[in-house]
Amino acid sequence: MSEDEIGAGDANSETVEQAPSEIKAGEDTPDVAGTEAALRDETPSAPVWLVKPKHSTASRWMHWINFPLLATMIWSGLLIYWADSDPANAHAHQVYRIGIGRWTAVRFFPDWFYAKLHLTFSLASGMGWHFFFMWLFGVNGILYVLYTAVSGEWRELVPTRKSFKDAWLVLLHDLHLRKEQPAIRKYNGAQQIAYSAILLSGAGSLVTGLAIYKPTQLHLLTSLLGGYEAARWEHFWLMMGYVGFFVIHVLQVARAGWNNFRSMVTGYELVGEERLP
Amino acid sequence: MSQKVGGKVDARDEMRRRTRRSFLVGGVAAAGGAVLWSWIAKSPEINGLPSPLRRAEQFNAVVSHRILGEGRMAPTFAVNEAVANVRVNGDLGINVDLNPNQWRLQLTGIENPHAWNSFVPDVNAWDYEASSSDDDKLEKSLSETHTSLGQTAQSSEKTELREPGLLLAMDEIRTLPRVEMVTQLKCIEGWSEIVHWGGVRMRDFVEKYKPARTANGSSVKYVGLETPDGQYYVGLDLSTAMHPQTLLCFEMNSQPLTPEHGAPLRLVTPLKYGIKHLKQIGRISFTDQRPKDYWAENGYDWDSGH
Repeated sequence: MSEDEIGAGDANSETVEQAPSEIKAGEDTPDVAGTEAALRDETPSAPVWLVKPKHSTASRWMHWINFPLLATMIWSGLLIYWADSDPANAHAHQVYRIGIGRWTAVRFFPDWFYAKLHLTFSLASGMGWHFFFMWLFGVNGILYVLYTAVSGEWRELVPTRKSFKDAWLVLLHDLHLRKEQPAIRKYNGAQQIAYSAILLSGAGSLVTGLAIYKPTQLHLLTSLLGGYEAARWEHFWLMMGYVGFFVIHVLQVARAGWNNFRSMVTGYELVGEERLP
Repeated sequence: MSQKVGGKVDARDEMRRRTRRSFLVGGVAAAGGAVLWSWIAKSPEINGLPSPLRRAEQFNAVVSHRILGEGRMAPTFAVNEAVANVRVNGDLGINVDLNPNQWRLQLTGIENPHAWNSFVPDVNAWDYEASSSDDDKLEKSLSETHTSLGQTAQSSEKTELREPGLLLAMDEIRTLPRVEMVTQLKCIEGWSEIVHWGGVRMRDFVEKYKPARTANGSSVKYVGLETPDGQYYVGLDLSTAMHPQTLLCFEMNSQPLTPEHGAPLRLVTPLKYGIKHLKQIGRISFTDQRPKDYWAENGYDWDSGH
């Protein structure tokens, strides 16, 4: 990794300008890049291409590292859930289900799901993977929170009172119920809420996971979470939350387009800005 | 490949350059992740678990012992919170037809075994198989075992397995202080039940029948337990055996244990998963070698503390 790659955060000085050419930011058309003529075009309203730093190196690395780690935690977790959800067990489906009392609407997961994904009869190896990768998942998450706190990036991330109204407007816009697009920022209100909720979920997974891992020796923690079964229920639904988040996140990233996705990989985005007179 | 135009770098070229480099770095990192994954998955297995995962579990056990210590107590419950019909989850190594009169606890690895009346030169000579109706056979087994006392090694098929130790009857174990305990049994599969146990503290047992010391005078570190047929076996740290809530249990809900629950004597150790709660104990051995453990040989954590 080169110096440039590391220094994404303070790369303002590297921001390069290039006179108008194409139309929209986000289009990466391989064209006759900035001819002299174009460069001299100094019409006040003509956009200037800028390479602007967006995501810091640290946050990008930790974001992408988290993805396979969380995937491994979910996969190994499913190996563990199978053993508890096995219909051969008298206790099956008491925790991982949607239902009230004895009535169960949906149980997690149906047999075909476990069979299809080859998740059966692997409790021991599921625990092996889970209790190996828990360290990597936990350390990566804790480092991310520390980094975000120390670097000041939390200011962009943590929702404010305005975020909730903003999030509502973003939602209406995204569902095509409202025409005006809310102001574009690095993270809009909906993103602030979603990303902060995911961070809290991560903390929740570590705490509920610990309460399940050592429910007897840490029984005070487990009781605080409502008991052993409640802690397992919480751990499960946090996982389901990640899966739901993942689906929406990927759809939104697809909608936002290449320039946005690329900024999460490179740290920079290409923007066309109004040239100041 | 930035193209300089009028002294300035083309922004889109600059972006392309960054994109190329970042995707390259990302690709290398992803490949690194894939290598880590396959290194774990393809490592030689230690007892059914790839060695990095096995070592991580051993590391986790050390970390949790360091942080949590050995003396934490499992929460206890009121007697009326205990379930009436305790779930039977497996019959590995259990002979439901075992004649209680024909049961003895084989105890090996104790200090000065000769001092006890129940000493025999070879605990393996004990025959658990005599049926309840076959009292002659029982007598025969008893006399065979005890007449072997003092005899020189004979060329029987059991000679090479000769292990001196004690053969304890239930009455001898019952002389220890009886305790009752209501704790939650947690199965590694996920379910759990609150159970009302009765028995004696293993700590009292260990203090009565002291483990032999090792050659350098230190105390042995482990206890191994086995069913009479040797099919199911577990290993414990001596510290687990000495935990005040670790019981040699012979009662459930104030009734004698049923064969399915491990009559006449079973282990209860509420800081460990159910897989360590050996039913129908046939043998207890104090040892300095970490004892074999049935479920640890099948991919599970040897420590299995929770």
